[in-house]
Amino acid sequence: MMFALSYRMLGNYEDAEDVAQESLVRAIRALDRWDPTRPMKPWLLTITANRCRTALMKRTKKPPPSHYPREPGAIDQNPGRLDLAEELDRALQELQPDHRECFLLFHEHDLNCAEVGEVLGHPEGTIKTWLHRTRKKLAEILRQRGVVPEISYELP
Amino acid sequence: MNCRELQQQLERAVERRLSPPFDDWRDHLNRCESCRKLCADHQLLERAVGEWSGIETAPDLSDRVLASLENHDNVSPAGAHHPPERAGLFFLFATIAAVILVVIVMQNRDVPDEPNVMVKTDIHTPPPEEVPEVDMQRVLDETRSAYESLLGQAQSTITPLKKAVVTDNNLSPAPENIEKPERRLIPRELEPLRTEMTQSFGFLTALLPETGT
Repeated sequence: MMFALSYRMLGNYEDAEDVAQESLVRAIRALDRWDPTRPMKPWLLTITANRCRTALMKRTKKPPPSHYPREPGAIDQNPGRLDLAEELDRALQELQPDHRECFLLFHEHDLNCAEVGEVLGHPEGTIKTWLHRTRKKLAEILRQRGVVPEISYELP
Repeated sequence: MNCRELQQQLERAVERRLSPPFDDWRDHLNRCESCRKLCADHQLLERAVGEWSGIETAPDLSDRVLASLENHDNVSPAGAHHPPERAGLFFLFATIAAVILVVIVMQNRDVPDEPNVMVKTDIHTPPPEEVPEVDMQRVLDETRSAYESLLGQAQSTITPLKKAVVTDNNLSPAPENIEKPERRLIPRELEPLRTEMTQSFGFLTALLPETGT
């Protein structure tokens, strides 16, 4: 979970490993500050998201990866499919970090809008706005890349 | 159903992770190109997210985390979050800041005006004289001898008239059988003077001569 968020946020396997490791170490050392009455998953993702933001800020001198290569750890569960997931990963790298985090936390980590708001420190309404804006932007990017959606809602 | 209502329903479905009611929107979609595009984008994203592959972490990540925890504990057992070199820099900057702060405070401190004190340099203080040591026993002896001398003179004057026994510093009353001296008569004209002297110096009554002719 922590590594997945780091990998999606940073787009680089080695950087994601470092951030995931650092986040996990910090979480273990700060375990006494975790409120047991609240779920642990958003708390861990908050730490990871903060470390990802820090790592992205340190990247100002270093350009982000120009492509989103398939990493050795990625599991190809459907070899015959279109590279839609890869296209989505690449499209995510074109978004601003806050919107990218919002999309990942909602769609990949299954947090609801309120929980995403807690992780990112923004109101739920802002998160909803970001979520729909991000979805629209991603769809535009994918369409520009030539990914044509199938229209399945049309009934015979 | 209009485009705005469709968009709002679609957003609510996304937020609640529900399937959009495409059947209910079919009439509108058949005649609205923009809403068809909106729904197509939604399906595209849902499919892309559904195809997201799981990401396998490095097999040695847990070992690295444990090693990092152990190293961190060994390096900073006190729980400091700064590496040693940063802690040294922090200490250096903190010291400099403290010195600057103290200097600023000392410069801006309200110092009360000192009173104008005239120092007189021409005051001559004589050297202390050497006081000879007083021989108290000698003073006491001399005082006693002088006192006894005075008593002797008084006794020599009074004894013929009235005997008094003086022993050391105590004066004892005179005995009853005082030998009365020979009385002389003074003129009656001096009676007022005698009376006055008698009132003032009663104990001299015996010494005063009787009035008479």
